[in-house]
Parts: sequence; C-alpha cells; structure tokens
Amino acid sequence: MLRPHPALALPLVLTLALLPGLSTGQIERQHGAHVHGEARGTLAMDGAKLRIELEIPGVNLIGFEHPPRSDEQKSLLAAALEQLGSGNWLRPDARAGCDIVTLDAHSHGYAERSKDNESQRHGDDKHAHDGGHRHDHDHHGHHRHGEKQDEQHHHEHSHRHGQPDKSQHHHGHDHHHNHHHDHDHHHDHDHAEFHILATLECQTPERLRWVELELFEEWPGNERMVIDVLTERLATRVRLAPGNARINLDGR
Amino acid sequence: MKLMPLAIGSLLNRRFAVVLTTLTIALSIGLLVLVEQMRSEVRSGFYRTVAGTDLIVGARTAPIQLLLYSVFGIGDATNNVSWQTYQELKGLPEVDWAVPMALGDSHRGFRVMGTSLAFFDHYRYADRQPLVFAAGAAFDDLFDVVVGHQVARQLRLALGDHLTLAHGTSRVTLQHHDDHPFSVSGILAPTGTPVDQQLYISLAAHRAIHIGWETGVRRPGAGIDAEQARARQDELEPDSVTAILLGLKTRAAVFGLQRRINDYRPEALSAVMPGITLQELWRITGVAEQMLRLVAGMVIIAGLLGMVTVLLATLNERRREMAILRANGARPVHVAALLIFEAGLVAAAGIALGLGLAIAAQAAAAPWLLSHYGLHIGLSLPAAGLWLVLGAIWLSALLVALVPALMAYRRTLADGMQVRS
Repeated sequence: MLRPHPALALPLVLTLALLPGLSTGQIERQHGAHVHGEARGTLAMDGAKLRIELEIPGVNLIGFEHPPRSDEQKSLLAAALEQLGSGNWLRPDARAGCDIVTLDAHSHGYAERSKDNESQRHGDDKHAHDGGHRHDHDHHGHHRHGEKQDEQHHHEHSHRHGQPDKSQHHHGHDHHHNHHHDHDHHHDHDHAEFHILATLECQTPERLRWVELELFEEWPGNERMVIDVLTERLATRVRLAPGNARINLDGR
Repeated sequence: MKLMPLAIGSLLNRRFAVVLTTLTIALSIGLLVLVEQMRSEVRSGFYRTVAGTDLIVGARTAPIQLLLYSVFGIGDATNNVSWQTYQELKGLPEVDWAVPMALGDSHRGFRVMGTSLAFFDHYRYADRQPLVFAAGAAFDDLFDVVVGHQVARQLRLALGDHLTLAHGTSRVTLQHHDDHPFSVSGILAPTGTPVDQQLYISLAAHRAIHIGWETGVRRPGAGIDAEQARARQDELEPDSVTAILLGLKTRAAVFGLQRRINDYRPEALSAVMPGITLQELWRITGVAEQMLRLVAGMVIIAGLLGMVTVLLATLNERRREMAILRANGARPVHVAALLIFEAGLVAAAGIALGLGLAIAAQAAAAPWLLSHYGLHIGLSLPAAGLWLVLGAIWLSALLVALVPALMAYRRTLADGMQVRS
C-alpha cells in the first residue's frame, strides 16, 4: 500500500545517485526553531545523576528580546537570571533526596552588539551573561522540517514583542563583519534566550517519581514547556503548562 | 422463583429477534475491542523494534519520516548521509556502536539492507534481546546474504541458496542485479519486528552491485564481475548510507549528541530518539484513534438502543406470557426482573461474541501486518481498562432495560387487576 509505485522508483534512484555531487557545498544557512511562548528542554537520568537542560525564549520571561535599553529592562533581565540561578523553581520529589550539584543560568542575545572591537564586546557580554560565561552566539535549537517558514514567522513575532529597532539591525550587520563564525548570524540578533543547565545528584534515585519545573506562576509569558525525558524506564516527551508543571518519571 | 430457565425459554421462543439483537451488540463490541487491541498491539510492535537504539541519524527530515523509512520500511528517504559522516559519528567517544543502513534494493518485495557486521552484534529488539541466527552465520564472502525469518519462510530459502537482488523497492521490477548472484549464508531467528522481513548484505556488496549503476540503470560494460569485486573488496565503500543507528555509552550523552548532530554544520542531519518520535507519531494518529473510538461508542449505543427497541416491541406480544407468569404466582417485580435479566443475558452474549469476533479479526489481520510492516501482532486478551469499559457497557445494558422493565411492571399490575370479558 505504502510501497512506492514502480514508476516512482527510478526517478528516486536517479535523484539519490546525483546527490553526492550536489552535497559537497557547505551548508551556510541553518536555523534552529525558536517559538515564542514555548520553552524546550531535556531531562536525562543516569543512575543517581539527573541532568536538566532548558532553553527558554527571552520573551517568555521578560517580554523583550533585545539588549536592555532602560534601567527597568536591565533590572528585569538581572532579576530573571537571579531567579533562574536560584533554583527555587526546580523541585524534585523530596523522597529521593536530590541535591543540586551545579546550576548554570545564562542568557544569549541580550548583549549589546556594537561596532566596537572585540574587547568592548566582551565587556558588554558580561552584562548579560550571569557569572561571566562566554558563549559563541551560535543559535542552538531543534531543527525542524519547514524551518524557513518558521523563521519568517518568528521575525514577525520578534518585531511585535520587542520594539522594532533599526539600530539593532545595523549593529548586527557590523558585528557580522568582524566575526569569524558568522554563517548563522543574519537572524541571530532577532532572538534572545535563557539557557539553564542543572545537574542533580540523588541519594535514592529509585524513589524519584517526579520533578517539577515551576516556571509558570511567576512568568505568565512562559506558556508551554516541551521536555524530552530519558530515564532507564522511559523515553518520552512531556508537555508542561501552567497548573501542570510536573514531569512524571515512574513511567505510567 | 428461578429466572434463568424462564428467561432462556422465553428468549428461545423469540430466537430470531434475539439473535439479531445479540449480533448487533456483538458487532459494536467487536469494533470497539478491535480498535483498542490493534492500537496497543501495533504500538508495542513498533516499540519492540526500536528497543535498543538510542539515536537514528539520517538526512535532515521530519523525525517521524526518518524513523518510518529507516526502521520500518514505510516511505523512502529524501536524502542520504555521507559515508564520511558515518565514520565521524562512529569515531565519537560517546558512541558505543554505529550501524549503517544502505537501502534501496529489494528481493521479491523484501527490502535489502546493506549494513556492517555491527548490525548483528548490536541491534536489539523487544527487551534488549540480541539477534540470533537460526542457521548459518553472518555474511563472510562479499556475495553472501543473510535473510530474515519471514523472508526465508515465505520464499523457502535455505542455506547456500542463490538469489539475485532487484534494483529499487517495487515488487515488480525490470532492473535486476542479476550479474551478481548472492548465496544465503545465514538465516535469522524470528524477532516479530521488521528485521524478519529483510535481507542483509555487506556494504561492500551493496557498493559492488551498484558499480556501473550511477545513472540508475546498468551501463553495459561499466560494472565489475564478481572476481574483480572480491579482489577490490577492501576498497569498496559506499559514498553514502541511508541512515545510521547509534547506541551510546551513557544515557546522559543522548541529548547532547542529538543536538550536536542536529546542529552539525557540514551536513544537514537529523538525529531522532525512536521512543520519543513514536510518541509524536501516536499524537498524530491519536486523532484518528479518537474518531474510531467515537464511532465504536456510537455503534454500541445504537446496539443497546436496538436491544431496548426489541424488548419494547415484544412487550405487547408477551402479554400472554406475562399473564401466565402472574397467574402462576409471579409478582410484578419478578416480571420486571425477568426483562432485565434477559437484557443482561443478551448483552453478555453480545459482549462475549464481540470479543471473539475481535480476536478473530485480529488473527486474520496479523499475517497481513506481518508481511506488509513486519509487525508481529500478538493475540492478547484486552487490558484491564478495556474490561472495565466492557463491564460498564453491560451495566448500561441493564440500565436501559429498566425502561421496558418498568413498563412491564406497570402493565402487569394493570393487566392483573383488569376484569376482562
């Protein structure tokens, strides 16, 4: 039923045969998905170790995705990073006796991108990066089918959420000139994200039945979180929403 | 007062209507049970197949697509993965094993997979069971082929048999690799997964039979003969493979590697976790399943209503029966109870028959699913949840039977007091 029609098989094979010749060029334009309102994350458990990684679009938490332009925005950004870094929102099942070993929260894309030299940029970055983490500004994300449309869509979003700012584009452009790994930077400046990496260690991991990520109450803009979960017993995708911030780990 | 013999006697007296009613209920129950059973069996069949694989890597595409064409043979690849990428992935420190898959050829409708010996060593199914050879061993010579259980069974292949592969995956094909016959070196034990439906050759053989086929058809004189191929065996490596199965050393590394592969610059790749991708697939098919459930539920309601209709319609005919019962000392409550009891019997018979029908339909569909998708459908009894639903249906049959029962109750009272002339 789903087998290809004989007439289709030959063109397909022809196409495949031609491909090696076409695919030698470098891929210059790749973009991750960035959906406002939706945070993505992973939770992996290996023995007693729990590793949680989250990517939250900046707009979900503080409502803008550009370098802070007022004191209010600056303090919003700082407060968000502090709250994320505090780990208050991360609530594992108390019975398992899990302790946070490391917790790193930082932001991407909130640094001012001026046309000044590298050292200037370093200085600026420090404002945005909690704990002075340096990151290349590569845009990580889950690549999805139909990305181009997605990207287009996000443009609109970002302009609606953040204030349209020509100077920002201008800066991005200049920055583009004095940076090496700039394939994907054309769009990079449109999005800012919070990245969180938490590692926990549990005394009795077998008793860990759930983990709650309470990142909804305080931040109404954070509407959904899609978390991929991998433990000994289950590989699953969990969708969290306000009122449902619990990741069940005991496998149905 | 004994209800059972009375009820059965009464039902037998009206056997035609009763049989039809029971059948209606049986069909509706059968539909419901079949939908539920197939759903869970197909799902577990899919999960069995990918039990031991951490990541599936292919050219960038939708995760579900990649999973379906690589492991289940549903649909085709849009692109291939370069051999260099395979080598790089295989060499990563967190990668425990990598199984390349080169698809595109077939033998009498069965898929042929070009792979490495790692497949037989590392592929796991169901509860992480390894592949076992029922006879023979993995390919050794360049033109050796290992066949899956169903392939061997259906084509009556034995060790040492010769076969030629066809170019493309259609059952009827004009392009054969008949210049390179393969001999069967091993037959795999049954797994109940698509593994049973495939033939396995080495990547070198896959390359060898395609030399001279670069344009999609064989160019006369451009191919190499078997001896040349054997001589060049070591240098025969493919330009690309269709997909790669990866097993990692630690679970914690899965997400990180998945991201790195998805962000890999030189080649547009997708890495998917089979379990999560299947779950996404069920989210899509879930809508259709809900519709089927809804339809099955409606049909059950129609069946129950039909039963009540029959009971109501026959009430008039059964006035005499009721009067005799009353004359023999039955109280109106007994008459009402008799009707409910009848309904209970009919519903129970319908449910039992429906279950039988569903299991029979499942058994009938199993070979088709096995031969088309390599999915092994077990004949299992319904899960606990389904038994509860069936119980609820039986109870609601009793409930709707209250309507004719109450009517009979009131009528027998009236009938008993009426002075007839």
